[in-house]
Amino acid sequence: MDAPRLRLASLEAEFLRSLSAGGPYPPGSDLRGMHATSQLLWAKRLRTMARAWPELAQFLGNSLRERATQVLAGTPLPPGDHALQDGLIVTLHLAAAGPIPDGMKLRMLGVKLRYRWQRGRLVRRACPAMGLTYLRQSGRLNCALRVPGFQLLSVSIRAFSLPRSRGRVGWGPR
Amino acid sequence: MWWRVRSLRRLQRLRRVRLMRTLGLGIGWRRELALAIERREGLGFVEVTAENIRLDDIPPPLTRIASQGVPVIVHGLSLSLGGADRPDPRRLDHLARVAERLGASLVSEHLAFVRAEGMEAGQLLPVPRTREALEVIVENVAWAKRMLPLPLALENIATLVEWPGAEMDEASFLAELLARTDTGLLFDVSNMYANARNSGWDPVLALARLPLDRVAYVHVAGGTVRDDLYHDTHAHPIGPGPLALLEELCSRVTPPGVMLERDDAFPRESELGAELEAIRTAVARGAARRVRVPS
Repeated sequence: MDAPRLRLASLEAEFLRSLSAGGPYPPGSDLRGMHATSQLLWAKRLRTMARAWPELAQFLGNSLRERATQVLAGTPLPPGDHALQDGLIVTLHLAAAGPIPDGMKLRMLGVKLRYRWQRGRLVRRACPAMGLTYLRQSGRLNCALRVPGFQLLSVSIRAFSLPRSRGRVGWGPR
Repeated sequence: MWWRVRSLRRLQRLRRVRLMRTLGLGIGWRRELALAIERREGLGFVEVTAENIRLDDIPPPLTRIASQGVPVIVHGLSLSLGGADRPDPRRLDHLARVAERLGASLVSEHLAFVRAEGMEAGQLLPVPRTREALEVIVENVAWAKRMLPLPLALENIATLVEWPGAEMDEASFLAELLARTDTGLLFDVSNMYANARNSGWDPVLALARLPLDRVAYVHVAGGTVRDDLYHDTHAHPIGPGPLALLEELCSRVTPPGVMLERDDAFPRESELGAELEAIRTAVARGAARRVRVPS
């Protein structure tokens, strides 16, 4: 990269970093505009996450903003499908803190079978994957298999009640 | 022979320019509006967001519209032409492939950046309006145009914030960029209205500095005021401000196409129709005001 590009990169990165963090803003900045833009970016991030995870939005309702902010505040917007990744991270935290609806568990399983973590971001799996999840509300054990290029194959069977493990986020970013 | 390929490409570009001149009234295609759009009679064109299209799963309503001969324009969101990195060839390739599959006549993108030093913004952000930044962006646009098989138009964005130390105003920066890259203008009247209102300058004066002969088509969208700032939300009815600026534009030039952008809080079909009629009325009022200078 030549010198003008490097300078532009540095300026724009500082601008974006300050917006994502909600400040401090570069010297001479239009403070009202920066603050409004920072709020806009955050609101948009949560909105796209809620659209990508309607089960999560339904579960949290009016507390979506508060709970998502507790988990995601200060984290940079991930590249790629950031809405999917943000929703997954919030769902994992909720699952570690208490029971979550079966719909969210199934969604999590589906994402786990389609994606894997690579240096802190979700990337599509190239290989087949299989997974299990216990659906507490319906008392069923769901087993799913995904082969790239094919529909997800899922089987659920009645199961006994299983104790819930506490305190682990489980399949989180690596 | 290479000269035959060049002649063929020139003929294809001319055909697309002719198509562009007859676009009329259009709308941004959204899944939520698919049925209303398909039922809309006399629709001039649709604009499709490239990042929302998977080539292996193009929505059937969109395929039907394209097969009925409704012109399609492909609109990109993620090239980051205003950024420091050269446009990503994979993103350019996706734009081109979507355009080819839908038989598009034009692609458009934004004078904005959406990523910097590996960080994503998730939003179109304004560029610093300095001469040095302009040189970088001119190179980016020129490079993108070489990689794309059809004409490109650049859109002015809405922003709630101005960079400190601007060396040029918005209209002059955009005008010079378009002139130096010989690129069309996707003029967003709502974005210009928003920026002018929030920063306290006159959008009508800015119109005079824009190369209106480069207007490829026009965006119009609704917004709302929050904390005394106008937000171009694309989720509210079009207000009088953007419509007045549209009328002013049309009193100076006949844009090939004008379209409604609606991305959220999708209205009933009747309200959508009313929005399109409001646009049509503003265009007609503007055209009626145009004074023909006798030759």
